[in-house]
Amino acid sequence: MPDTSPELSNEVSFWVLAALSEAPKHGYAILRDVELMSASQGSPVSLKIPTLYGALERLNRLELIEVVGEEVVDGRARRYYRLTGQGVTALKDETERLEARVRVARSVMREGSSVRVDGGRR
Amino acid sequence: MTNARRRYERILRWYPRGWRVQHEQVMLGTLLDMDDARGSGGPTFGEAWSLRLDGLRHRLVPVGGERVSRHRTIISVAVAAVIVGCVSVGGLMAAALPSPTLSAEERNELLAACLTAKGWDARVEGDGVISSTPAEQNEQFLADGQRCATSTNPMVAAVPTREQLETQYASLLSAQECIADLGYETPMAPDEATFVASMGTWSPFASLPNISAAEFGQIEQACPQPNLEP
Repeated sequence: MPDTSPELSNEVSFWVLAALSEAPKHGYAILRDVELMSASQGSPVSLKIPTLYGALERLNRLELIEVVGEEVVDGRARRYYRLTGQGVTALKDETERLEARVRVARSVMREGSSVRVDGGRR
Repeated sequence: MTNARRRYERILRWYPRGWRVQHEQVMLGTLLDMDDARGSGGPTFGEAWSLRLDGLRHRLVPVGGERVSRHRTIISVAVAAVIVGCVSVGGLMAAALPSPTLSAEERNELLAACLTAKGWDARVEGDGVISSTPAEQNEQFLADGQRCATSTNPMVAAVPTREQLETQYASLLSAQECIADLGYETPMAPDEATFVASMGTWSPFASLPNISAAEFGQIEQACPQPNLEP
């Protein structure tokens, strides 16, 4: 299984997976939910369609998401994606990694100069 | 069929055929959903260019990519070729040049002919141009490909006729007046002869001050740009 962590550190990919963790969604629903979720944490991600589809193609190739079906609604084709088991794990791992990063940064900020710039604490 | 749908469909022709078979209808649906949410104004200028560039990017590697072996290099109309004709306006791409009128297939033919003239065994295959090149010559091949792509880029290869350029000039002048009515000063236009001689390398949209995408969208809505679509 390829290493998926570089893909997860891409903010767009992270948000796409987060949006899909609720339920299977089609392109526009993902786009809207990514904007809503990212706006709620203070730095809204405004996605261009090529960026969204680029991320969906990569995540699909990495088997983190999969297509669950297509339908035509009012003459418009919709393709629904959902997280795979690997996708769920990858999202969980990345979230934990981000939390750990925040914890370390907080403790560094509290301790200030006792932490060396190269990251080694002696 | 709605006008917006037609305009998006035309832009999506910039993607290679293999991609379109799989994804075009789905992406079109999403674009139309987004367009509805925005108020159905059709593609914005920035959106149209980001789609065109993405379409060209997809042409850089043929669908599947399996045909690229160690001794074969595939290139296609380079993204750089399009960027050559564009200037950045507040983060948006604005084409300062007239409409590319060649099909992708025609552009690939020109690219292959240019590479052949440079001594490469180049031919069109699928959505790209392919050459049986020793691996150690790949870099040179790609460099020549870039140069050829620039010289066969839509703006140069699809040499617009004088008549097209004159029409384009008149449309751009009206657009400039319209932009001025909105309160935006843009530098004076070149005279028509200079515009034609330079193959149309001037556009009032390219010299707008640094403005937000939303503001650019408003200007575009009020003052439609001359058609830049193939």
